[in-house]
Amino acid sequence: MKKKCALALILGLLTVLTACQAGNSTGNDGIDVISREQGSGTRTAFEELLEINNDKTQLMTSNVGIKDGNGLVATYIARNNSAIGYVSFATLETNKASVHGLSIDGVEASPENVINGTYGISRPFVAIYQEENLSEVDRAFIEFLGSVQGLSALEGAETIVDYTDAPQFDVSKYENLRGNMVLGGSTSTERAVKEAAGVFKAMFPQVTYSYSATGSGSGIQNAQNGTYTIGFSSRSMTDSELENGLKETTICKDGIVFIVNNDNPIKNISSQQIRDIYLGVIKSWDEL
Amino acid sequence: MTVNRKRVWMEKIFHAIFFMAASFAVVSVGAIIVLIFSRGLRPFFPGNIYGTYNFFDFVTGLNWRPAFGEFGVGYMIINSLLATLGAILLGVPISLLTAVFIAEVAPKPLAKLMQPAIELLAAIPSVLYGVFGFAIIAPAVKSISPHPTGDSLLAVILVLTIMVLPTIVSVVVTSIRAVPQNYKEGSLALGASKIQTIFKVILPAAKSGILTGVVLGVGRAIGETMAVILVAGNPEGGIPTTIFDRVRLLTTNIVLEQGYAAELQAQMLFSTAVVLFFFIMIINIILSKIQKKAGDM
Amino acid sequence: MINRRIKDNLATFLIWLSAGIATSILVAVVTFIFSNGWSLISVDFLRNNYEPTVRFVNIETSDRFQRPDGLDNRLIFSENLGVALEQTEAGYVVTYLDNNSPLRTAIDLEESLFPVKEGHFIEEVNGVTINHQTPETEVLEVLNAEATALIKIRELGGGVFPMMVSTLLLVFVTLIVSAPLGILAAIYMVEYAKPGRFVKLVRFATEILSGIPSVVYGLFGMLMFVQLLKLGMSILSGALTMSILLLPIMMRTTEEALKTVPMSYREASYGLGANKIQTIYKVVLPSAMPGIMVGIILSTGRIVGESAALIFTVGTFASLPVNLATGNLSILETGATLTLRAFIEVKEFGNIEMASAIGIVILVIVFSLNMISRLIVKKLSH
Repeated sequence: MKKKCALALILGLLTVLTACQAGNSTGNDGIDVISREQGSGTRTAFEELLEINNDKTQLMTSNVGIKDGNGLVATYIARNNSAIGYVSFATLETNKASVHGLSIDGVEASPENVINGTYGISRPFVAIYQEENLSEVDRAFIEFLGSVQGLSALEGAETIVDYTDAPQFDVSKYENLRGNMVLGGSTSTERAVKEAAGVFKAMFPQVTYSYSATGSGSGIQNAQNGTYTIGFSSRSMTDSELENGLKETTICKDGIVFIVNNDNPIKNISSQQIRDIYLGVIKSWDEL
Repeated sequence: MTVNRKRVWMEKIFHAIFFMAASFAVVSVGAIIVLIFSRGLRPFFPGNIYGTYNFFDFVTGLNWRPAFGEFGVGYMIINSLLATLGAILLGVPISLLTAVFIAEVAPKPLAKLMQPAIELLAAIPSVLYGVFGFAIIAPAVKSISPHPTGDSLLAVILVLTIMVLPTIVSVVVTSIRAVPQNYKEGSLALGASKIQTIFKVILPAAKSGILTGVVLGVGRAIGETMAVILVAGNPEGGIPTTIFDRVRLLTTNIVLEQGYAAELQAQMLFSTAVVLFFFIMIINIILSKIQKKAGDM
Repeated sequence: MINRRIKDNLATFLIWLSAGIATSILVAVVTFIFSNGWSLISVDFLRNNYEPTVRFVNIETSDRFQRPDGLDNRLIFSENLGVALEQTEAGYVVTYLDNNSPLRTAIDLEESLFPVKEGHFIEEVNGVTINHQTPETEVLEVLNAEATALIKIRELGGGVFPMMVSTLLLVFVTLIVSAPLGILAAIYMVEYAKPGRFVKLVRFATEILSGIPSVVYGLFGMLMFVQLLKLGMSILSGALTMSILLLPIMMRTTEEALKTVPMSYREASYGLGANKIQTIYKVVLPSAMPGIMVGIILSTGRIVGESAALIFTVGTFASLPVNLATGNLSILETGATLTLRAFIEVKEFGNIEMASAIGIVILVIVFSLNMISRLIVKKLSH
């Protein structure tokens, strides 16, 4: 009995342990291409700006790994040194220890370069709402987002803000403000919006809010059907979405940066090379 | 006399309550079917506001490119099938034998320890299995894979197998324990060895319970989303030619694309759900036919 | 003869091997969760809110405080407020507070007490922003400037208290709906139903229900409860969705439990003059209780672990589901459960440690529930 017990446990353990050989090998030298899911605002911006999937001649290769979530892309790449993917600036900041961003055509992916226009891969964070659905609290919040204090809060969440012509927020305008804001939408905007809402709530302790990170597309849709009083998206609305009478306000900008594992020596890449990687033309790292 | 009439009324009321409770299952299924199907089937009929799509193309299509109006779930159907099959092939034998171990072979104190342990495994949320798969299983697969990634059919199968184990084991252990003692005693008395008794008497007697367990396990495997979304790879097309290829399942498709739930694509999500529905129904019908056969034997 | 022995031994070997594999996997998974999450576990972890709290507080002071001896040189000390701060990458954090410091009795804008504690960050004083780049001299200047101050305090969240409450609330409501429903339905199927079309229909329906993946339940719940019934993303929507999801499990396990009650029990009861209801209530049900408890345990585990069905029905925001008007817990409010939050942690932040820490809390809850129901079963079968 005892012998069998030991034998079986050993064999069982061996089986599991062999499986647990967490190797970080590069397999072959192939490029592990990572993209976001269709509904992601980040992906839409990426496709538009790099002209991929625009028409049937520029199809993204179907052999791409899809990860839903900025953080997930970063965590995956942190553990896979043959991978390349794209994330928002804020995510790169958080994961600096294990991944680094690539500069494109020699231009570094930084907020300054987005502001001065040399780094073109950026997208707006927008707030979307139906005018009729807004309560006083919502209106105050939207005004807050455009004010110096609001922008400062957003900036604290690693976004790119534009302070020109931003007014000071006048707290006394809204005495005894109370109510609940049902916010939601993009996972990319989650941190920034929560940061701003936190400060807003500190000013008006009777205000509460919730933010459901269900995706840009669902943020727009739920703003329309009223499930969210204000929806947030990491891309502008399409023409057909605009037809539904929704209002859109840009609250800040965010850049998209391509990242690779820190073990990957590559630091700069040309925009054509990026396109070729995602189109499946370039398949392995030594082709770069 | 009044006592009797009151009793009769009580009986009738309770009978009605029980009946209504039982009908609730039917009512729910009806509601689910109506809501999901009405949205999911619309794109395939003319007159849909967002455009009509060919059902055959939908079911056999090997690419999912909503940007070009191309919605093919064919490859996902194949992937889901392969993943579930793999999990069952791997999971059922291990579960069965483990259940036999707990119920018959293990020394009493060990069995007493293992049963709550297995039940605890069943309680671990799928997400954590997913994280485990992401952190441990995928890298392990990567080290033996010809591709530069661990996201693969194999990783999905392994995660599903782990998840299906406790479900099947619990149910089978209960069924084995429910087999009347005299079956076992009779067999042993006739000179059969313990192993023979287990495989030729007890297991067949517990057949209905075992199949119930398998059905539950299959259900869990087909429907698993969260645990596998992190290791599947979720490509936008293609059928796996090896177990190391990336796969997208019907279930993960729904969760992934929920973010852009508008217009035709939103309807397509429900259509995916409808296909998933039929897929499961067909498998259930096959399984229940097998159960019937087993019951008759 | 030898053939049989070889077969027997092989079979025994395979049995032990399978059990070994199954056990090793359990050990591997649990070890993984504990080793990754343990570092985050603390009393604060369990008590704190998840989201960071930002508050503006007013303080008045007239005292002068002495810098305590032995205070680390790196820390700056404000004589005005009796507080020592450390300059970190994330900003200036409170590391020491004198017992009489006015910060301990700070009042927020709502006139309620918000005591400042160690670990809190000071981000703004009288309109002057303080971040990690602000030089220490400037910070001290601002802190020591006036006798009254409006200070912006940030309390880092990272605690799971709201999620725990949401989870328990969800379990409670779901069980209240699904357990009676499942048990009553099972009683009908076992004790009353005559073989025929209706029984076949119910069985068929249950089969279908148990085969529907949780994602589809999530979609259905979103349509039916969140949108059509206008319950919004709430605990209630999630609970109703889960009840339907769990119906087949509750029914099936209760049926199996009822079936194991020998017919002789029922016959004896009738023989003694009891009617059907009494028999069921006093004889059959108690005898089937252990099996029913198994069903409830399995269901609880399922609820705690569910994520796909709840993402679209409960929502992912980590907060206490509190009704604004009454300040009480309400099932009509949203509040992410432990599992949902763990998923978002991995998905959006890649934070395996946090997800594992939440996992530890989940395992402890479930394990305790398990133990409790086992004790109940033991007591009942005596």
